[in-house]
Amino acid sequence: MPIAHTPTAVPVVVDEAKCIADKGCTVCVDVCPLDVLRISDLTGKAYMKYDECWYCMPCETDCPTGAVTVNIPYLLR
Amino acid sequence: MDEIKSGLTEVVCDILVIGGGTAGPMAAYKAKRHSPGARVVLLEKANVKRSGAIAMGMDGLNNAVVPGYATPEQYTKEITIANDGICDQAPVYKYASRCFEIIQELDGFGIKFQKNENGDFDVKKVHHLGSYVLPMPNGDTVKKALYRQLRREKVLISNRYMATRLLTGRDGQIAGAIAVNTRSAEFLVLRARTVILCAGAAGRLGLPQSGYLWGTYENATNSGDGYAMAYHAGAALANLECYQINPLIKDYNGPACAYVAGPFGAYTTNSEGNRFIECDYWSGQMMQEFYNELQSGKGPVFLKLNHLHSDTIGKIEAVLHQVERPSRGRFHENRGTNYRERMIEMHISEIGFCSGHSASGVYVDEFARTRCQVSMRPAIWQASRTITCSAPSPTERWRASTRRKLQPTSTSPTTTPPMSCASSNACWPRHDGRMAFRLTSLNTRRDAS
Repeated sequence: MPIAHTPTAVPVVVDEAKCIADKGCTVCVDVCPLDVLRISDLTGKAYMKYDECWYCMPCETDCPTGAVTVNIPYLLR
Repeated sequence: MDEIKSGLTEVVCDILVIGGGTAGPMAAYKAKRHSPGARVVLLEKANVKRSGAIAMGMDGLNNAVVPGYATPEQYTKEITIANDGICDQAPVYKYASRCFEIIQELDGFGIKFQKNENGDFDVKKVHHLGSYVLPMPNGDTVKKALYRQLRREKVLISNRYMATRLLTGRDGQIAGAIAVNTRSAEFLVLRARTVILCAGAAGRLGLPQSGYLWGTYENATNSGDGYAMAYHAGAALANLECYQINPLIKDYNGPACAYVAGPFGAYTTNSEGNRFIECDYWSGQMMQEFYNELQSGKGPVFLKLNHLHSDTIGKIEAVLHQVERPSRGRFHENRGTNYRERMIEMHISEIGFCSGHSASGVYVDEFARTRCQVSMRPAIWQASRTITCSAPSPTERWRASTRRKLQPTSTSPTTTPPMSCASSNACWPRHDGRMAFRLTSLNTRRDAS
């Protein structure tokens, strides 16, 4: 499985100002069927770690603070 | 809510349900209702709250056999024709016969199916012969409703464990499964008197035309693991020659979806604006018609809605852009395409397996029993059997959980198998101690943290 080390346009974008993962929230990580999200050790915020999105959107729908946005970059190109 | 605590290496249960999408929760719920004293474990590689092909929701049940609209005989004939005869009629008929009671039950769960002014189910015609498409206006609540039932029945849920092999006893009977934690790579052995396999089909069989490997039409978590496990355990597979190619919106990995738009007056057209498909329901014939049109000079092919009233299109959008695959609205927005202005270009998906439409997968008889060896011994293993439930993929509209409903087991599974059964069993993995299964060096996905 490829791990996204370099900055790249990944589908799931988290607004760190709104994300409350540092307060213990793990909703988006829990609900992702493909399990591609994680909480960053560095920032304490959620981010897309594995670039394997199916664009199904539970992360965006279930986020309690509306911090998550799912883009669909690959299919638009 | 992981009931299986990490560090545990062996779990003993009466009924193990593999797969927590749609069919699995339904099977676990039914098993627990039937035998409240039984220890029922539901195994899921994601999180049962949002997992499987309809993690977001489902916009309609496209195989609703509702009295007054259709009969089980008619439905069985319909599917046989659609699949060019590649189908086992007995389980399809059984599904059709019991469909209505399960629709009512799901309706009672709060998954509201569309009803007309008389309060009857509002079934639409999409198929060749009869009417079987039942819209689900609040289909985004499916997973939540099922999850609520599981919690109420106190089914044990094990998230983030992916079953990798079924374990068989000396006589070929299924005796449990091995699972691996998808994050920590720890192994878990689950011993069960009965295993109900509810894994999905194989959605990632073909390469998506976008080149993005997770941009498959079918749900990417339907990895075909259930088929493989069943096959390795000695079960037969059935009807896989009836694989699927689906019409989709060009460059978007989701259904087009004529089933939703068709009843409102939308249709598939060629570049000349003419209809060329006899019937929008998935069938070999329909895909042949689609392929022929693409190959002829009349391609590309379009989904035509721009002849409809703006309000009607709004209703279609409310379903297509919100319930099952909400990212579709975003796709059109970014592409600058609008149903109101012009026809939307369509194409065909890569190949994949979808157990619902094609009635394919692990072979089961009308009681959802596989062809794993039947025990000749009168011992406790008599109760052991595998039952298969196929999980739906986004296109198949809910056939699965209703089709292959769990049948009562022959004995009341309230006691656990004695250790001697397992240890005398040559096919069980050898283990001197529980730590033997804690293999953490596997090259699988792991958290750096």
